[in-house]
Amino acid sequence: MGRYILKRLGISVIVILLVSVISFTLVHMLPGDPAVLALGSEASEQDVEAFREKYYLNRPVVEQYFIWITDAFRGNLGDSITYSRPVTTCLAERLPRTISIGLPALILSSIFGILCGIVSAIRRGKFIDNLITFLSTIGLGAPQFWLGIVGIYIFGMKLGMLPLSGYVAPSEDFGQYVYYGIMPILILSFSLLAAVARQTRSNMLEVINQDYIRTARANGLVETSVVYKHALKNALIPVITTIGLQVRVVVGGSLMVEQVFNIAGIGTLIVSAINGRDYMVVQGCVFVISVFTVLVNFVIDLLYGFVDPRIRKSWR
Amino acid sequence: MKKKVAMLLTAAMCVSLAACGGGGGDKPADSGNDAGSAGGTEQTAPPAESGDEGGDAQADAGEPVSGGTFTVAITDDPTTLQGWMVRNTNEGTVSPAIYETLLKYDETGKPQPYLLESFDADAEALTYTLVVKDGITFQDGTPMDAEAVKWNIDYYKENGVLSGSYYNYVDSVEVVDEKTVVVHMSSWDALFDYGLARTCFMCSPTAVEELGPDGFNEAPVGTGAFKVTKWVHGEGIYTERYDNYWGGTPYLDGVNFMIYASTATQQAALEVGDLDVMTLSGDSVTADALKAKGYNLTNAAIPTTGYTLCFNSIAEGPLTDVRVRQAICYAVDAETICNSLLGNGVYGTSTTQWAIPGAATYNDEVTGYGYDVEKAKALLAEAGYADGFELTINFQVGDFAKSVCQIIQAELQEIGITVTLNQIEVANYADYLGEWDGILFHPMGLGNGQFSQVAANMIPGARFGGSTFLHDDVSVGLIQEAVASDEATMDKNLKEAVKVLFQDNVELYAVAVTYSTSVTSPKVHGDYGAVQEHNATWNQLWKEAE
Repeated sequence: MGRYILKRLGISVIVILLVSVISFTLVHMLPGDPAVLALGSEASEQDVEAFREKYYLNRPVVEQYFIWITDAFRGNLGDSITYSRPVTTCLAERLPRTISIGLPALILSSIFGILCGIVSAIRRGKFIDNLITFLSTIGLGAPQFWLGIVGIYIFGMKLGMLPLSGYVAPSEDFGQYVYYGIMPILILSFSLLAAVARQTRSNMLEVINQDYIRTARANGLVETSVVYKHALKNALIPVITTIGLQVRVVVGGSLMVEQVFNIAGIGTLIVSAINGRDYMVVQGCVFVISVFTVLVNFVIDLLYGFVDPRIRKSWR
Repeated sequence: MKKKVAMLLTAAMCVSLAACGGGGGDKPADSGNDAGSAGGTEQTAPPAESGDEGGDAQADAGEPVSGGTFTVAITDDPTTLQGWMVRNTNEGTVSPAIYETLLKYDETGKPQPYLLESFDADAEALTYTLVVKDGITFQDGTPMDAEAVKWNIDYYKENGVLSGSYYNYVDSVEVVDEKTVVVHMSSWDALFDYGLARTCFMCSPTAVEELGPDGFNEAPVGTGAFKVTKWVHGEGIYTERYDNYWGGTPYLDGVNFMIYASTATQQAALEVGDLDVMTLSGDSVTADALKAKGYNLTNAAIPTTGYTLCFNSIAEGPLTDVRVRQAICYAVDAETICNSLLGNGVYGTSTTQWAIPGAATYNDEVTGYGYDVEKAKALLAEAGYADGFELTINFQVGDFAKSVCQIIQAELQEIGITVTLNQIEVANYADYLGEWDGILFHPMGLGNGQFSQVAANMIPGARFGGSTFLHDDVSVGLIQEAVASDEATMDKNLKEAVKVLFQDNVELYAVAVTYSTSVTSPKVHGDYGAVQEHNATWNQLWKEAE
């Protein structure tokens, strides 16, 4: 098992490096001069040149990358070209907001998504199945900004029950955090829930028709035991994969939700950084998101082994 | 089941449409304004004339009351609050509440002494003499005196983001006495006052030195009516009133600048009372919707943007012929474009140059080119292009620019010119400023006035149009003489240069100038954005009690 973990860790480091190279290359390929964008078209040529020098923008791209990656592994992600502040400071301000919205959304969607998927599968063709399928389709198909605008209109403007936008940190005032956060969390979790529910349903349907489930029933096991002990455990691996893929939302944020509900998180930071060609911030955000996603997927890989003994065996 | 699904879908669609539609009929309970009339401070005539209308309406609101917080929308975190680094819209929205400038534009766009008692130019001696008003202090209690002015001008020249553009000719600054400063120029710059009015926010030297530039960025100190108490990055900036403000203690307890990224969220926040003001430019759809709901609309007297067809007059092709450029101007119906896209001229107007009638820099002799398709066809035929030709119009992404360019595309088709539209992403737009193919539909910022833009941009070596404009001896000579002359000569020369550029050589064709429209809650009274966008008479703004 130790060898397996080491091998996975090695692959994770390579993936992070590759992601950083690709994102660095892509962002530098975008047309537009960050110095001109930062200073405006009125700035004189010497002002622009001085700015380029300050951020190494006049050096070859390969050299810029090596300066950046060397500093990154020392914990220094450089200074934002737009905000003239350390990228780590920008991230430290934005990450907690994104996580405090994304994490509850992920937890809610995972729990209720799996539950909905199970109910939908065991009540296949019944009203509840149709309802869950219909809502899942909306959750997957409807853009989050649309759901957000509809939510704001109904609960904020018409009913006046919830605020239109804004954010309060849970550490500041937990009640206010829930009050401001409930709508974005629910909207974000709705889409994630839909994906998890669909995945769980289809896997459960596949498993439920297997011979060993029929045998379990024939042996007189109670239905809850059949469903949760035998069927769900076998249906869970693809579901865990789906949840693992959604984890990036926790740290990367959902741009749409952040935009509509006016939450200054990582999603909005990345977009404004791309628009402003703030290479340092884009790189810093991508680096943090990729590290987080790779680590979570590493944990998920380990989790497979605990869920499925066959995988655990293959590690030996 | 199918029926149920259909009904659910219909209901969802209705809710969606209602949410997106802006809900025309609702009015704030206490607005009191007739949606159809020019109520509140809404301006339907040229803005400079209609300012009084707003004043009368506000006088009826009763006696000002103290207290309350005024919330202003910004679209993103300001990139900086260091006065010498301010350049973009968001910090430009926040800064006027905190900082003030030595000179300030009047309604005609002319810089007038503001923190100064007097501002005297001596072109022959290459000096500007500045006398500071009595009794002005920074928010940290230190005096705004001659030493502070010297420190600021020196600091701007050394560290300012636009130092190369505005303080290039400042040689030294001499403190004569407690209130008097003499700025010695290495070469005469007749537009120095425009630079001081726009880009020189007075910062407290003591605060900068004590806090350092980074610390000062988080807790800036100016002479303005409100001082920053907290900057929550990504959320907004909180201020409280400065009780010793030289213009009189402000009525409001504080002004907060909160981030609302989109117009839609700003509009929704305004409607539920989370926001007191939002600013629109060239967005007549939102402006009309809010006007209909009883919100007060105020246009800035100084236009914000001059949307201009900038011709590449030197690259080989039809545009090198002045008759072709004239024909294009005759074929574009600017008045109809403005009427249809800018609320019948309420939010912007057609004009012949980068200024509107009544402005200090407006040249009456530039008569422009009226809409005349037959004349356009005749000029094209005369130039040898009776069968038309192909042309590219480049424009920066944006709803207004796109609509205008699409109309122009159709209008030029009428005279046989086939136009290809090239939409340019904002971040990429700067790459087009030096050279472009065909025509660039450029949103020229007019906050600094026509003279400043002509002098800075229409000369050889300028970053804008350096490789596309004619830069003929006449216009360049006029501009160069103007910036090195006294005020009267500068005025005369630059007006002549405007005529050469817009009328005689047709290097530029102003399709529309737009005003910045401040939309304020009916509970708010006082001047916000009446003269220049984002600027207010801060200490006199007040808000009705909740």
